[in-house]
Amino acid sequence: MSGRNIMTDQMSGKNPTGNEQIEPATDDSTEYDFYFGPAHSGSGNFGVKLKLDGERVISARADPGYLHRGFEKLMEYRTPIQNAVISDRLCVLEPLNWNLVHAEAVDELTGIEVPERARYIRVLMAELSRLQSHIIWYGVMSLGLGFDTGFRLAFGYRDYILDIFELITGGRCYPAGYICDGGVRRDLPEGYAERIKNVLDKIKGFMENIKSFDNLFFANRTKGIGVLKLEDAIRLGATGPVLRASGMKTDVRKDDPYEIYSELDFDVPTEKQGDANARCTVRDREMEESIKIIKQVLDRIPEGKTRKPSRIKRPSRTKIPEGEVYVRNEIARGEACIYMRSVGESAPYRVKVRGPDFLHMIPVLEHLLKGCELADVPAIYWSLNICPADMDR
Amino acid sequence: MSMVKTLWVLVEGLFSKPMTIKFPHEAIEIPDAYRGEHKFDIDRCASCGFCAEICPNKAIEMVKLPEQYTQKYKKTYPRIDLRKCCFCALCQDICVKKCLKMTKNVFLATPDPASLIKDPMPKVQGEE
Ligand code: SF4
Ligand code: SF4
Repeated sequence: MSGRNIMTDQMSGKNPTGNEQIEPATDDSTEYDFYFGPAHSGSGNFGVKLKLDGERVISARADPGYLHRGFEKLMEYRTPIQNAVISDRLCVLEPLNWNLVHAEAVDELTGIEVPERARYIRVLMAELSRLQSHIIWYGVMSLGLGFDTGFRLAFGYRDYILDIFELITGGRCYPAGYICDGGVRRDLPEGYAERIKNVLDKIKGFMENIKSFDNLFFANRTKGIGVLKLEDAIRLGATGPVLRASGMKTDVRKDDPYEIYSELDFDVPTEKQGDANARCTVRDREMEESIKIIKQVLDRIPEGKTRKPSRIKRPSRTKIPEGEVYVRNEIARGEACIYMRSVGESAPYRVKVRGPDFLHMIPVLEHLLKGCELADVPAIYWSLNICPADMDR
Repeated sequence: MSMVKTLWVLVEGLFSKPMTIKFPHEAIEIPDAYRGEHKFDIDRCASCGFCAEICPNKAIEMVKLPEQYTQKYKKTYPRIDLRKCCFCALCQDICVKKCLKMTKNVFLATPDPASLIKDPMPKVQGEE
């Protein structure tokens, strides 16, 4: 025990864990600090320190770092196929999309021509992953707004997609690097197309249901809340649905197409208002577009090999050619990027992950929370569909 | 109008089949591709050690068998520590002899963590 008396420190206004002075509150002061998160079902492993005046937020300070697992460093000691397994964990909510970004970075370094069938499977899985991620978003958004029914419905329906993941990848949440360098780890099982079509029908039913809830629960809690103007969105580095909800028509799948996206017919939904409601609407419409893409892929998927080379190489036989790449993909939350540099060894020399949430959770969130009402904090927070996993890495 | 529709959805929910099942009395079907507990066939193993090399978590160690078996099984064989395993199935995929397979067994919770270390052992009689 140190000789310091915590009680005395608190009474004197000194913070026992640091030197910061806490101003003693005066009787007529209505200002106070409020912690949103970091250990709360409504925030994920992430906190926001709010300064409130009554019910109004005066300032917000993001408090990240609770989910740091050091993936970038781990990847420097592992071969691409082992890193594919790690790339799952970059975001719990859409591991397959992160698998894809990682696999593309390695493919670009090795220069391997990915088989056509594997490219279709990759897009199929990426879109199912996006759909599933948007459904989770709907669930947590409902939870944030106090609409528990929406939460339960969403997580129930999400499980139908997890059944598909389990059928194809062997795991419900984590596909263990199913999308890996050179293609995918295994071919689709028999009867997959029927199963996926059945699930899509169920998801459509779910989307019908949530539309009927919109006017009652969502609209009045989200309209006009957390307005992000287009110039602010660009200045603060927003990407994906957040940027599209502020009026910018941009999508990596269209602007810088990867895999087979240039051959597919789909729209990029945008909204103008930039408020929480616009962000919700964009995601609702994106789910429809994802279903459209999945159907096209199922109709056109060719036969053939699923990986080149078909066998996994031992680490001691693996070599990544020298070079550096920067790859970007459109994932459910925005733009996901990986920078990878190789010096010709079996493991990359450096991997840098830039997830969409870094900018959404710090500058954008702080900007939007400033001046809002305390009750609107969860609505704004979840309208950004943020996930600390890819920010803390 | 939307109120009526919403209420209808909620009422419908009261009479439709639940999405959940009564586990453990019922269980969902686990697909063949599932990555559960490993099954090891020592008689087919070539002792190449590829599985130990590829394992991203270093959960596999090549070990000798207890003395009573070393006459028949002279080399080293994979010992799998499920406490470290992330069930990625890379060991299964790299095994040329197809003697390391992942099964559908998901019931691995135990109060005895030592039981999660799977030593390579000769098959007991009657085991397939
Ligand atoms: S289990 Fe397979 S990979 Fe491992 S040592 Fe035996 S033959 Fe080699
Ligand atoms: S499943 Fe993966 S983590 Fe587990 S022992 Fe095999 S290679 Fe190692």
